[in-house]
Amino acid sequence: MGPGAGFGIVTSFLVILNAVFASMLSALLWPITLIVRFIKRRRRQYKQIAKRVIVLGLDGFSPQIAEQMMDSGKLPHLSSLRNNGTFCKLQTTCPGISPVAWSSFQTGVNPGKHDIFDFLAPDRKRYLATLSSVKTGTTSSRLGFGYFGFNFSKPFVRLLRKSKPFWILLRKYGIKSIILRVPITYPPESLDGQLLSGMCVPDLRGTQGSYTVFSKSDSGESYAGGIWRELSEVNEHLWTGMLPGPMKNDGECAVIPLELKFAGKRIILRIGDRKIYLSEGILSEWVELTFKSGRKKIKAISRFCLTMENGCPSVYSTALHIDPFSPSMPISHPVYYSKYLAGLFGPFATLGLAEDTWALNNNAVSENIFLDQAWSIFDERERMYFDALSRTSRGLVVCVFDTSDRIQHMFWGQGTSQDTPVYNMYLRMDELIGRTLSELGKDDMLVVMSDHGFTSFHTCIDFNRWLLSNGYLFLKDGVETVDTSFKGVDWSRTRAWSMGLAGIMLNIKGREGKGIVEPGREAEDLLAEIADKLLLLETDEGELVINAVYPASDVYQGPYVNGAPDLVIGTKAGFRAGWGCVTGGVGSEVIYPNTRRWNGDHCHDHKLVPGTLASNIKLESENASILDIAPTILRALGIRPPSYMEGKALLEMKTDNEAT
Amino acid sequence: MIFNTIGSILTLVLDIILLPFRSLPSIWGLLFISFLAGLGMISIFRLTSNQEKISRLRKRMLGEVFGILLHISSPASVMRFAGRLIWSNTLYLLYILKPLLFIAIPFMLIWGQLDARYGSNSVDLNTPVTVTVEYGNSLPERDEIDVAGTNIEIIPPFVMVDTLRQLSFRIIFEDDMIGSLDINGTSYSMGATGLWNGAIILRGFDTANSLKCLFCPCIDRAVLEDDGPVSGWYSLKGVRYAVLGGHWSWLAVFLVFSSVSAIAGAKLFNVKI
Repeated sequence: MGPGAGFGIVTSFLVILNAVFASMLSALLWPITLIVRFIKRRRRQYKQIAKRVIVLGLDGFSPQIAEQMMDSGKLPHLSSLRNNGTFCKLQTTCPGISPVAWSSFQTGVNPGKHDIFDFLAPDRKRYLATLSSVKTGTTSSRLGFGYFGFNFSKPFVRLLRKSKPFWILLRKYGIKSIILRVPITYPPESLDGQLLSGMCVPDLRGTQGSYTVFSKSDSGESYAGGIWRELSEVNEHLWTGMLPGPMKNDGECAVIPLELKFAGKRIILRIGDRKIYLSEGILSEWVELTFKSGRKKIKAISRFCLTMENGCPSVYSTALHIDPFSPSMPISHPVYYSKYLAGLFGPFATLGLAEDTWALNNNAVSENIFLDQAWSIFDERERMYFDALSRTSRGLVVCVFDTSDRIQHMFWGQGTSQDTPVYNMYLRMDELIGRTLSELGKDDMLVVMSDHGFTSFHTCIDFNRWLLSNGYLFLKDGVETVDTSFKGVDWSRTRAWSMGLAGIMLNIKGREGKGIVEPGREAEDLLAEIADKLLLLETDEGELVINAVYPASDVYQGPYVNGAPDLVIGTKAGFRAGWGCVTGGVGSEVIYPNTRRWNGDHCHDHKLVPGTLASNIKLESENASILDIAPTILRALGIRPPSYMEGKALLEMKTDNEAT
Repeated sequence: MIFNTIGSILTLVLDIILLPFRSLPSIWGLLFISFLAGLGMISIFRLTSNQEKISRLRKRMLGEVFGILLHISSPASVMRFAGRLIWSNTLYLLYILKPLLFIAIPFMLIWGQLDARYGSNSVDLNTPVTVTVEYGNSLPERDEIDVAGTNIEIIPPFVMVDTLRQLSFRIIFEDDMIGSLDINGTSYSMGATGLWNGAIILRGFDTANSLKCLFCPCIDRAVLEDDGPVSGWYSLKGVRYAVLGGHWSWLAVFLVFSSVSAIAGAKLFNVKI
């Protein structure tokens, strides 16, 4: 009846036909695929302990806080693991930073073998900060002969983490895996199963997450990690603005017009071809947006929130997440896995660092809005996780929840007593463990783990200022301070520089762009000198701020050690590298208070912030390290861990020769 | 009465829309109307359907299709997703039921108009047309039936079928394609309603007071006389249109081109179907 409805009916019957056809085909092919898989798969070396291994990653879940709460009768599900299985501290990597630690978790090797030493990797030729895990760019080629031809360019995204995640090894044994949001899995690698990339997935502006604030005038607040755009008043009921999106080929930003209308009690936001109703102080649902770049359409999703300040509206828009239903960049393996998830559960956050910590830091959103955002991301992840569990009766499921990390970063200052956000977060994570336990069968192994713990961050240390004060770094004449990227540093005299959350590099001749320190003896002496002096660094009150200094050669082994900072600084709890010096700034003070809302951290001496390990089966918990998790899981699935892996299987085995 | 009026208005509207195509081959008018109908119906679909719900459901269905693909080697999972897909599909059919009902009436009205205008060849001046008339209670005697025509010539013999209460005979149009048949003094219109391409071509008459006059404008509405027939029909050949190298019925042309325009409209106006 009619073309529209007629199409609907016709396609409906096609859908039913296809569904029946697919079912029959699958049933017919099943014995064949089973035989092929049986023939092709490698034999397991050991008898498997678990048919299904579930790894529940809780980023930043601190064993100390968990223990305190368990001792006071809270966290019943984690307590049951402690009583009947395993609960212990898990040694983290040096430094205990998520990209480093999760890379070691997935590969079973130290950073010297996977080449991730920090969030940022220094470009030693240009003294610039680059993302350590991903490289994006364009390759240009020419097609044709001589004058006849044309140039074309193709964008690329390359994962810089080296070595191999243990789930890729499972493919040889015919074991399927579902990997959800594990950090440093972008771009997704091929595996037997499905993978949704986590930390380091960029937004559509190519950043690690930049929000937008629309208001009548610039409030004067910092917009670090975000941008401000004007909301023009057309009349008292209508305000307009432009939402900037991805960069087009011509170097301009694609934009979408935005219109805010006050119609009686209703507040209507029209953005592109979408119309949504806003309520003051409440985060909207995900809104699908389409940016046009030439003839290409780029789809994004974002959430909006309206606040009123002195009668003027202000609209906050989250970072432009890649639309999981129409991803403009690969965020899952297979590509349609994200479409499957978005189709079944609706749009979800795809940005690596999805919780908008910068917006809260800059007071662009309130604490409540931030918490709403964080917990709704948690809910999305939970749905995917339990869907994965329901679909996997054998094999591996790994899911990492970031909410625990973000809430502790932003609310550590409020303490961990009852009804604080951190306390509530631990309770909720315990509920998640409880729900997982209720899904377990008798042949299942559950590993609950975190990459690091947490502690406070009340004082910043500007290592570049310290290097300057101690005659290792020099600024050009007339330059007092540097905001970022070492602009104004006199490299002809500088012998050491700091970039990233815990690293000091020497300005080595031949390695750095304008290096002056001779490699070898001179460099070694200089390193020892800096390390000795750093250990004596103290506050005005005489409190020492550095716990340990680790030369790269002592803590890393492997082919990529040369890419590591020459010294890794282990600060005491409460002290961390200052905000400016992380990206190559030189401030005016060496030690200064951290006034930001981001007041919890883990970028200290890694020995002070161990992670958590818990399991439903007994594991050898003494000196358990994050490097041991991959070998343990492989061993539980009956596979001998490859020799390049450095950790040990933590299973309490009688013998290792128990082959099938 | 009201149906007659609505039918007349609709005919008038279509006549006006088709005004520019009167001197062109019929196919152009048919294509134009098909195109307009597609756009009109997609607009009705958009206005009367819950676009948000349909969009969400379509995505879910696609998600379930991907679920089948992800688990193609596991029959149990495939069947589970196939079951969910069929259930989602049932929901989808329910969602489109309301717009479908809204579309049904204009669609049927247009269907009738197009069938009347483009469904059959108009009468040929040299080709005889068989006329069959049907009586209500009983067929009168032959000598009680007086058949004459205006602009048409009646060609005997008269064939009477008592059991069916039907009388058949042939006619030939004499001058042009408009004429009338007089039976016992009552006149019934024959041929086309106008001398242009796209005019309604009458295929019979009916005295019943029904919706037929609304949905079948090719059936002329006639007044029932005591000794007159209740209905009648004329043997006219169906018409075929040469489109894209094939010979298409008007319905095929309409369905294909209205669908194309509906898809284009859906794409243009971002309608989720």
